[in-house]
This record gives sequence, C-alpha cells and structure tokens, in this order.
Amino acid sequence: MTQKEKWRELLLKIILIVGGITLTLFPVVYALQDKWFFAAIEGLSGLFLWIAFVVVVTRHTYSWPARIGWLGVMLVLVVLLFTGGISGTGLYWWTLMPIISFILFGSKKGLRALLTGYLVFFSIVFLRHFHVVEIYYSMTEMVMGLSAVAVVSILMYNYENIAGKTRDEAQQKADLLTEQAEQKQAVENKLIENLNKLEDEKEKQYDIRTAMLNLLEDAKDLEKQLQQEKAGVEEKIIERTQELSNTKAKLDSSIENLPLGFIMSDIKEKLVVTNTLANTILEGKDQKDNLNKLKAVLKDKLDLGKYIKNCGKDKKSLVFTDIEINGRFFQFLLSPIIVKETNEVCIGIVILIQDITEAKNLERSKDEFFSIASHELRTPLTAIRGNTSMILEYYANAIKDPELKAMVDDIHSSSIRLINIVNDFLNVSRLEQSRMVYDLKETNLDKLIPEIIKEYDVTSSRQKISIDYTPPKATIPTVMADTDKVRQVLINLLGNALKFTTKGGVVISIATEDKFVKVLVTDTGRGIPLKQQSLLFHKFQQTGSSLFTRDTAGGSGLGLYISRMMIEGMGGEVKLERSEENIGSVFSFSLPIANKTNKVDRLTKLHLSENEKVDNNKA
Amino acid sequence: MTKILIVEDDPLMSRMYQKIFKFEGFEVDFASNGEEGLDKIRTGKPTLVLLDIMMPKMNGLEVLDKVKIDPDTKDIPIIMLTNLAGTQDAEAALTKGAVKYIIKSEYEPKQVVNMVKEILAGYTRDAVPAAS
Repeated sequence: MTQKEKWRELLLKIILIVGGITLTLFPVVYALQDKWFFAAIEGLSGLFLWIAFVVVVTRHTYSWPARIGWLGVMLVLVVLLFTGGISGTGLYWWTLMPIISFILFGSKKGLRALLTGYLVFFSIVFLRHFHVVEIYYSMTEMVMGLSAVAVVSILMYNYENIAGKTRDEAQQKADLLTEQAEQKQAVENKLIENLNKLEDEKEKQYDIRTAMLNLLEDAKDLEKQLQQEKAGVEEKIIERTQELSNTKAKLDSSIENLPLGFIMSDIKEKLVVTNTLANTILEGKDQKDNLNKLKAVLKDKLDLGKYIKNCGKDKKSLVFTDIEINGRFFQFLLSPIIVKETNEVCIGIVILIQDITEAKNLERSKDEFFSIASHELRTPLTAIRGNTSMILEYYANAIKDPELKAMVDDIHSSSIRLINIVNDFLNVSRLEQSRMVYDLKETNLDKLIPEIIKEYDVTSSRQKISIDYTPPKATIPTVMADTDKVRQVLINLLGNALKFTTKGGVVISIATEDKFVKVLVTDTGRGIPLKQQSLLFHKFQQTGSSLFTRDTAGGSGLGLYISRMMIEGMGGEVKLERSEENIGSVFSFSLPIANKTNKVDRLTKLHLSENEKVDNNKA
Repeated sequence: MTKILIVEDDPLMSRMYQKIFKFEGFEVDFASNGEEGLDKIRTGKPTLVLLDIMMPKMNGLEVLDKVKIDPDTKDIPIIMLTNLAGTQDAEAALTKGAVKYIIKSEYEPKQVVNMVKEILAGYTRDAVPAAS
C-alpha cells in the first residue's frame, strides 16, 4: 500500500466517524426534547445516509471519481442537515432518491425513478407556491432540498457514466492482462513442450542412428543373400521360361499341324487363335476375320457370338455336321474351355473344323456299293434260284438221273443261301448306318406270332422237329413294333433253334415283363457252351465255329447280330435267357408295350431311298 | 385266256417270269422298258401287269401313273416288282393304285404265280377286269 492510499484510507475513516456521529446527533437532540417522532425520522434518515455512504466508500470497485462524487454528495447532505434538518421540516427523505438511483446503477429505470421524484417534488413546490395546499416548511428548505437532489442526480448520472466506463476499461485491462498472462503461459508451455520434444527427438535420433547402423549391417547380409537368391530365381525363371516356351512350341506346333481347322477364342472375342488350316478353310484375312466368317457360315444353325459370350450356353459342346463351304463339307465341333481347377470357370471356346468331304464321299460310295451289290447280286441270284426251282418242278422227267437232280438241288439251295447272305449284309449295313426304317405300329403279338409260325411252318422243310406256340394265360398288351422286323427276328431265332435241334421241339411263348412283352423261343438243342455265350449277338459269330468249321451251320453269322440291332432299334432287347449243353437254349426278345409316348410317330425317314440312289448311279 | 404282261428290263428276270407263267398256262407278253410296256398295256389290254420299278426310258411309277389316269386301262390290276423291301417307291406305288408289290428276291417264281392267281381269283369273282 502506498503512502497516498494510506492517507486516503485515514481520511475516509475520519469522514465516516464524523458522518456517523453527526447523523446520530439529530435524533439524540430530538429525543432529549421528547420529540420522538422527529427523532425516529432523523435517526432513520441519518442511518440510511450513513449506510449509503459506508457502502460507497468501502466498495473498492468504485474508482476514485465515483468516490469523490459521493463524498461531495455527503458534504451537501451534511450541509443540508445542519441548515434545515433541525427545523423539523422533514425533507430528509429525499436523500433516499440518490440511494435509489445508486442501487439502480444509473440505468434508465433509475433515471425514470429520479424524474418521477422530481415531478412529485416540483408539484409540491408548485402547489405550495400558489397556496393550493399549506405546507409548513419554508421555501428556503424546499430550494435547498431541490438543489441537493439536483446536484446528487447530476453527480449520480455522471458518476454512473464515469464509473461504468472506468469499470469497462478496468475490465478490459484486466482481460487484456489475463489474456497476456495466458499467452505468456501458453508460450511458456509451448517452450517446455518444444524442449521436451527436442529431448525426445534427440533420443529418437540416437535410437535411429543406432538402428540405422544395425540395419546397414543387416542390409549388407541381406544383399548378399538376395544376390544369391536372385541368381537362383533367375536360373529358375530361365528354366521355367524355357519349359513354357517349349510347351508353347509344342502346343503351337500341335495346333498348327492338326488335321483339323482350329479356332480358339476367349469369351470376349479379343484373343483369337487360328491355325493355317482354319485360315485356308475360312479364307479370312486375319484371325478375327476368320471368326466372323465362321459366324456367317454358322448363322443358320447358331448365333456363334452369343454362344461364345455365354461360353457355350450351359458349358455344352455342340457339333454341326455337313456344313458346306465352297463345295466341300465340314463338321464343326464347338466346345467351351473350362478350367477345372478354378471352380469350372469358362474362359473361352474352341472350335474344331474337320473336312468331312472325303469321309462323306467314302460313306456315299460305301452306301452305293451296298445298294448296287444288293441290286446286281440279287437279280442274277434270283434268276438262278428261280430257274433251278423251275427245272426241279417242270423238268423232273428230264433230270431223272439222281446225280443231276442232286446237283440242281445244290445249285438251288446255294442260290437261296447266297440271297440270304446278301440280304443279311444289306441289313447290317443299313442297321449300322442307322438307316433302317422302322414302321412302328401297335401290334398284338399274341396274334402276330402264331401267324408267323404258321407261315414259317409251311415254307420251311424239316423233319420231326415240332414248332409249338404256347398261348399266354393272361391278356398280352399291345407293343410298338414293326411287324416285318419282328417276323425277321422270330424267323431267325426259330431257324437257329431248328438248326441246332435234332430231337424234341421248339416252343414259343410270350409273357409281360415290366413295361415290355417278352417272346421266348425254347429249344431242346445242343445248347451253347458258356464260354461262347458272350460272343453271341456279335458280327460273324457262330457258336462252335472256327474259321474252318463255320460252314457247318450254313449261315452268314449275322443273324443274331441283325436280330439284336433290329430289336434294339425298336426299343427292346434280345437275350440268351439260359442255355445248357445237350439240354437246350432259351432265347428271348422283348418289345416295349404301347403307351401314349411311344405311340407318336417314331418312323425314321431315309434321306434318300435306296432306289433313288441306284437310279442316280445308273444315270 | 388270261394274259399277263411282264414289264421288266432285266432279261434274266423277264425270261424267268415269262417261263413260269407259260408253264402255268397263261398267255404271256413282255416289254423291256417303260415306254414299250405302256404301249403294250394300251394296245394289248392284258389281264394283269407285272411292272418293274427301275427301268430305262420310263420307270414303273411313271407307267403306273399313266395307266391309272387312262380310263381305258385304269382297271387293269398292276403288281409292282421291286428289289428291296419297304422302300418309299414301293409304298408310293400302292398309294398310286398298284395291287401289290413283290420283292423279287424273296419269292420263288411259283410263289409269284400263286400270288397272281390269288389276285385274279378275287377279280374274277367280282367280275371287274374288262380285258378277260
């Protein structure tokens, strides 16, 4: 505390004590005069005034102009008290006005309260002056009171402005100081922080340096190791590359030398590979062009672009045959490329183009050969057979010589056998080329079989072997069959049975079995040895025959083979049910029972009838 | 007398059928191609014709067509001769009005005569053929 402030403090104390004593003085005087009412008022007014004074001077937040202002007010009031107070006019209550305005801190509210007070005051003065009401205090007191109030008010107002401003300034200063202090603190903190950081950094750098040194050492080792490994890898790469290029060369060479046109495309048709043969066939400018040409060629059969995109639809291969390009015929095999290792992903397609012109020509000439052979062989054979039979019938007298008759007989039976063989060959060729026509009709086997047996019984010459038909116990459903083929098969089985049976008889029976009707031919013949049973139904197989002994049975060796093919062609099966040597054999064939699905026309049409082919050939 | 016309280009076959029909007491005439056959059908008015399908100049089916559209000849029964069974040509002949088709290699000459006799028996009962 400075000297100046000490003085001020002392001054304030003195003023306060003096003020307090002075204010107590008046009530005490009134009380001594027994004027208790005035004493109370003076006392209260003095108390209020004093409190206000104490408040003002002890509040340190008030700046010095405010305090001086208040001291001024106090002075005026003290003067006022000394001049008019004791006369008992009671205007002290006006001292409340500055107190109110002080409490209200010079705000507008305070101002309004002041003005209202003035109005009341002036009204009283006005009313007294014109003697409207009689008030008994003097005009001097009124003016003094008025002046005191005015001075106080003006001072108060100014004080508030000054005090407010000062307060603001002080606040601002304080704020500024706080701010500066804060800034300073911040700077300090930062400095400390930076210092710490620097310390850390230093440590780190040290660590790093150490680490780097270590690393450098490691790196040297690593480099050595790497170099070794690199050398190894390079070797391996060279090796693999070599392997790869070998494989590629092999593949390229294989593809290039394929006897097939080869086209490979990925599913986006971006990568297309073709070989020279494909180029030759399709005559495309480049590989892409080849693919486009191929699209054009196949456009009637398949949308190739779509096929490639969908990767062969359901990853299925397709074959198109007999496609003509520039007078030659080709077969196209389209096949998706599927990588089995990776979830069967399809990566593209391969198209193989095979020139089948030669094969077609060959097939055609083979077909033609058989047709011509049939025609050309059978006509003279028929003539031989016809003429010998006529000799035997109409010139019996002319060939009385038994030797001559036997010779003519042999010629006749030879011709019959030859015709049968030629017929068998023709049948086989037709069956094998799937060109056999089946005229499938609903057939009642229970009716057909006795008819065939009857017919056969009349035409076949044999001794003491009986052919019997055992009618079925239950009704037999109709089957889908070509009656001519059934006839051929049954006659073949019957013929075989008779051929190998010397005593006893042959029994034919029918029975329903699941969805088939089965025809059984049971004989009492010599039976088939077990080891030969598996050879039945194959081409040129005769049981118990070698190349030199086969003639004894006197057939082409195609009978059962043809029977099998024909029955299978009608959806049935030929079987050797059982066979025991010297006891007999049971052969059977089955045919599917007629139902809604197989009743639809299953007739397979020939592309060209054989007659037409022979005509072509003749022309 | 029953007159049989054999239209067949192969002399072996033709002669064989001629003989058997002669032996069996038929009057026999023959032609060795389609045109000649058609002529002889028109002029000779046979009771029955054996007509081969494959022949030079005019094939059997063409002859059959012409015979069947001519009111004078359409009632003459015609049996087709063929080499192979079940061919479209033979089946077509039946729809065009042939009575039957015979696969030459499958029958002895005598059996062919028997078939002809059977057919003619049917016709004489109904007294249809005009030429007899």
